[in-house]
Amino acid sequence: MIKVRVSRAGLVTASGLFALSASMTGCAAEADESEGTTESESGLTVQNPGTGVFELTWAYGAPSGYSFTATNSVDEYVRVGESMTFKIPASYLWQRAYPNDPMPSDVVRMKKLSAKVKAVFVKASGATSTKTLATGAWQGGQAWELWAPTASFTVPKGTVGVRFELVIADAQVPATSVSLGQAEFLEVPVVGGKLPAKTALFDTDYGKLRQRVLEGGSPVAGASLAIGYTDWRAATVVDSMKIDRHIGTATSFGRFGAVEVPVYGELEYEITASAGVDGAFQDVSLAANAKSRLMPPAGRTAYEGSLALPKAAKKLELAFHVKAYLVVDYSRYPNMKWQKYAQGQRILVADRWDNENGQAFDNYDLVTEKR
Amino acid sequence: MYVQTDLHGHTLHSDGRATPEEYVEFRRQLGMKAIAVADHDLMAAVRPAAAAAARAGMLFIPAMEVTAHLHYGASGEEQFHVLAYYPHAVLEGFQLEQKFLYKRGLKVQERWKELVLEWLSGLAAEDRELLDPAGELSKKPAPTFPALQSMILLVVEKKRELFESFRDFHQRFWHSSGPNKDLFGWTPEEAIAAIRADGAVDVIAHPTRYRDKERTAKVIDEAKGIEVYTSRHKAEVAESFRALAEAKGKHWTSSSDDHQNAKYAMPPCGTPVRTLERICKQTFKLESILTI
Repeated sequence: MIKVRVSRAGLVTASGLFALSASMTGCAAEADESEGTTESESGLTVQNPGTGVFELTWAYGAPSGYSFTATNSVDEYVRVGESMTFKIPASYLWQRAYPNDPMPSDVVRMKKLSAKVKAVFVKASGATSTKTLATGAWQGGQAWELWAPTASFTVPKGTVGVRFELVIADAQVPATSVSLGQAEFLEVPVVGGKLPAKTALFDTDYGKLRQRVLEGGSPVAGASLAIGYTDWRAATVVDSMKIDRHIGTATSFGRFGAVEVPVYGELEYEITASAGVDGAFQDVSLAANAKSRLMPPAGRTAYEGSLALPKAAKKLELAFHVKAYLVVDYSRYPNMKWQKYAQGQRILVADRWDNENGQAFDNYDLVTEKR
Repeated sequence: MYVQTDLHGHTLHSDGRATPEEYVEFRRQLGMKAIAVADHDLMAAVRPAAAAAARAGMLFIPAMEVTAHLHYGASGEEQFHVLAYYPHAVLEGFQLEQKFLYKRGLKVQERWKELVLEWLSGLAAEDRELLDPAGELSKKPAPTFPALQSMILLVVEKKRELFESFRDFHQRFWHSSGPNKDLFGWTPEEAIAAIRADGAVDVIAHPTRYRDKERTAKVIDEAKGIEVYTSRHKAEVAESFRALAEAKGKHWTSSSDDHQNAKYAMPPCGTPVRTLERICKQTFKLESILTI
């Protein structure tokens, strides 16, 4: 049984971040609708920002291939109020300071390196503030595994992203000073910088559907709610692996000569959120975004929209209409041998509703908080 | 206990067609728990594929298909492939980039570029201009130079009549008549020794493929593991190699050898947990395997 409790301020919370309906928990929630709209704590500050580490490591999409990636105690997101440190590998500093010299195996030599990292906190308005930290004592026993931490710092209120700068120094060669600017590194998005506006993310946890309010707590009445829905969730809902995507056969060439290769179409999703505020429903179209702040930068798509919650809103219900289309495109294959469809066709291959338990009129229920 | 895996397949960094991300995404949708990319002689796809696998919650094993030879420079010369599997932990920091076979892979990319440019230089001027307008190809750094499959598709797209010329010329890349004896003139035993010196586990790729069966049997005796399930093995062949591996106490793997040029052959069985544990040098608890 999932425990549902009423917090001191009357906020309904659950083991997940959404208030779950009685039908899912198997027991009646102690809070009823009259308690749904409560004074907001989570609309003012992120309730559980946690702790995390920005590690300089390989990262997809970074200009040099390396950037700061975050590991966080709560989930994959960095939050306003989170206590962070940096973890800097000596091998990276050597590689950037002396790109033409092989890395020495001498640990003492490697420990002569040091760095200063500047975190640049970006607000929604574009204004910035900074925090500069120096590497501390090196840790690890071999040259290739040496790494240094920095002191901790807290992600300031109003931050929507963090950028980075790095200056490398070498005590053995004082003339060495390598500066890496913000363009070298990827910006890391931060959650909670636009409170009381929040984000409801519908994604997957391995094969299971998962839904979260990223800032914690519940959506805030009188504020906007961003709605994100991920490609993998859509694929799970329509059971995409059971959809026949074979659209033809082409003649191609491999190292041993001509081969016949199967041609597959891509799936495109159209997702509409059906949002009910205190029982009045409206459709919210979710636009595909291949460069979403909610998703890692490689090959993923988030479907995004937003909803302005009225000041008097008490209860929000959400369900999603997911349509999958098979897109027929033979243009990459100049030697088509067999075409199952006409070029450019877009065929509806799945039409599903994503709602609580898959039952009609059984939506994802969220209470709201007062601003 | 077995885990659904595909530990041998190729990307466009060698003779496959998929990007590393496409490769991972395809297997994620199949519900695989542990995967590897094993491109020929280089590891260019490892970092991007590992990042994609991490996001998908899959165990990713850094790997390479190392080219060695039987009877190199003599009658009966044939390629012999040994798979190298590294512990997942080499992805931490920059350990991977320190590995001998990784650095050998960078050389392979440089030599490939040289070979292709040599072939281009022998073409008629108009054909060379067609394939390489304004010499743009030669300006590409070796790591981003079109690999084998991409180069073949480029040749066919620009001028189909040049395909046979390129196909015949590129065989020199591995062959003893070519310029790369230092890279590919290894015996299988030398490849196995290099793999072990790198801290990786050696597994004989598609062992039924080699013509010299007697020599192959000796190499199998030497190896740590055998690739049992692969699209190149018929069911009865796979079962016989599985029986051999189990009789000799060897590790064995389940893979596809997918090049994205035929319908995907889903491996009919998983890889034993103990093989994955040996590769990763760690013990997996039951619950962690189920949720990898």
